[in-house]
Amino acid sequence: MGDLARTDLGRIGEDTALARYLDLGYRLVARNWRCRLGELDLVVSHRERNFLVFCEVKCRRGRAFGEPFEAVHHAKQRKLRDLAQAFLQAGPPLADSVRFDVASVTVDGSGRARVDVFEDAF
Amino acid sequence: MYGRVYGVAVIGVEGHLIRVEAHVGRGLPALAVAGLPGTGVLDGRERVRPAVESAGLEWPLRRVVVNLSPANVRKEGPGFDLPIAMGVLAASAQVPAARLAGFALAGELSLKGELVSTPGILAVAMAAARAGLEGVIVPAANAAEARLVEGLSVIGAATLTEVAGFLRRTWRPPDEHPEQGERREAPSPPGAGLASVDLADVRGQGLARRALEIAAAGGHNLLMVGPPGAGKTMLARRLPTILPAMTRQEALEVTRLHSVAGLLGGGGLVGVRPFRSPHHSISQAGLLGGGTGFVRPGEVSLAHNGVLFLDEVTEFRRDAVEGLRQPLEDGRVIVVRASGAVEFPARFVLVAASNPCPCGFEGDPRRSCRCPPHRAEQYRQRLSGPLLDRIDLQLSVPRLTRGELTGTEPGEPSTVVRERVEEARARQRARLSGTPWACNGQLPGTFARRHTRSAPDAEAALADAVEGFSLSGRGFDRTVKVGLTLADLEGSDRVEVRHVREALAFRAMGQQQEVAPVG
Repeated sequence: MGDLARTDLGRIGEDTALARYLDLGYRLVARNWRCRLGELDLVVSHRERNFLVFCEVKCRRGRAFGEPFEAVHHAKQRKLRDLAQAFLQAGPPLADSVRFDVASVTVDGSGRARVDVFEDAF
Repeated sequence: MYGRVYGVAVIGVEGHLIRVEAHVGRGLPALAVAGLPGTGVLDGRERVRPAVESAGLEWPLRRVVVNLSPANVRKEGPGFDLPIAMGVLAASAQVPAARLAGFALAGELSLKGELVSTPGILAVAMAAARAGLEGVIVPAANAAEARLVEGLSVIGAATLTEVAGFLRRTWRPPDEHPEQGERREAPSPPGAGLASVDLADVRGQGLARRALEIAAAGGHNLLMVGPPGAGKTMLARRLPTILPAMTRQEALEVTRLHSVAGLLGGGGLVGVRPFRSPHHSISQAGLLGGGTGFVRPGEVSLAHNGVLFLDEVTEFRRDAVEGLRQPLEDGRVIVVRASGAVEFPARFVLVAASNPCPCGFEGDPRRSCRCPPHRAEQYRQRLSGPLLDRIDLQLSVPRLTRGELTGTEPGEPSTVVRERVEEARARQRARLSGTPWACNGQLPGTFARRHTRSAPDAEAALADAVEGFSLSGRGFDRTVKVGLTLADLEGSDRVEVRHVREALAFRAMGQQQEVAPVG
């Protein structure tokens, strides 16, 4: 998998995380939503409960440089809050409350992905 | 997911029971510590997770919040590693919480998951006993000191794995129920750790030996003035060997102080009276207690129930020496901080030594002093003042003559002198029972004056001294106290004129006119 491109790795991570959310009964609202501030990886909402989830997906090929979630530090958390605000202002009202998750995805040599979703991460 | 265990914050020498709560909840994996953790406690954050993982236990990949309650007390020291780790393990249901409720936990962790020897464990155990807990879980290296507290179950564990095993009832400490005799270990006789030092080593110096005996018998502070090489340090080192054996209570006080200072080195009860001789470059904080964050006991407290020896006392920093006033008066020292006051016991016999002048040879019959007179005067003035006021015995220690040096006559051994000291102390204890004082050296002047029975001619001699030698009020009190001790050493109920005269002879410094014998 050494030739796996960065964008491919990112997409594998997002696919894996999305699959987990769909299993848990969420539905996709937006994916790779962009504005001038940056990009939101996944926006999902729960079918029954009235809230939105902004999910930052971090994907790495191994743990040599730490767990993927460790890359979501304070500055990035603040950026994600700004992005979420921009997202909510850009469209019609979608939910009463929001939650920020971090999906930490590790892809091993054979291409198998393992995902940990940290709900309400910050 | 919630867990709660007990830890102990040691402030001064007192332990305070602290509830260590842990909550494992939502959020990115992290460990937050709330509840006024000191730098030492926060430092442990980085140790706890590796230690838990090394021990084969699981660190929850969740956000962990630890709270130390009550939150108004600043918690210091590495002893919180273990309670934080066990709180997290309880919160993540890896150890049964019920069994934890009866124990106070303390101990520093290594990254390998070992429990490392930790200062202050005796204070922890005392706090746990006072709070009515069943026992303590502490590093195996500190189990001996914790066992000094009676009626407490002491679990000494070497690793985090063993602690978890104990709570799951899969591991038992090898000596959970030691012999009763071991628990009530008596203090070893004084001098046991100083076997190489004995008063018999001292040749000649009859007056100085006498002064040491009086100092020991009455708990009087002592100043020795003499040229270099006269044997002042040698004499001072031998004072602990003739002091009476410590009671168990005294030994516990010393052990607790040395435990808090991290000087215990794994042993149990300290049976030997401490002898501390700090270098004259010591800071005020080093002498009296202090330090950033965790307030450490100073040399005055490490010398508690023993001897504090200040060699070259004139070279000590003025502020440090001035600070000795409080411990000399009250037997304790209070270190005041913005965060509150910390009190340490500090009741010691002070032995100070000094040269008579900067070059050291003033008054020496065989070598002339090279100091300009004003320098010598300045030097002496550094000695005067508040410190000298609190020293009952002052004497000159001359250099030995050749005959004394080469003589083979051994001096009286410490054991013999100590017997007389013990008898004199017993008389004082009987007389002073019901008062807060244990020996003559501790008595306030007014009390000593009012309650001393003197022979009429002794009183007359004292009155003569006041008039003839302008003996000051304090000087008067000191003479009375030393006279009392001399009477106690003789087994006499009354201070006689010979006691007064001998006491007056130990008033050498500061007021030279008092040196002359009373006629």
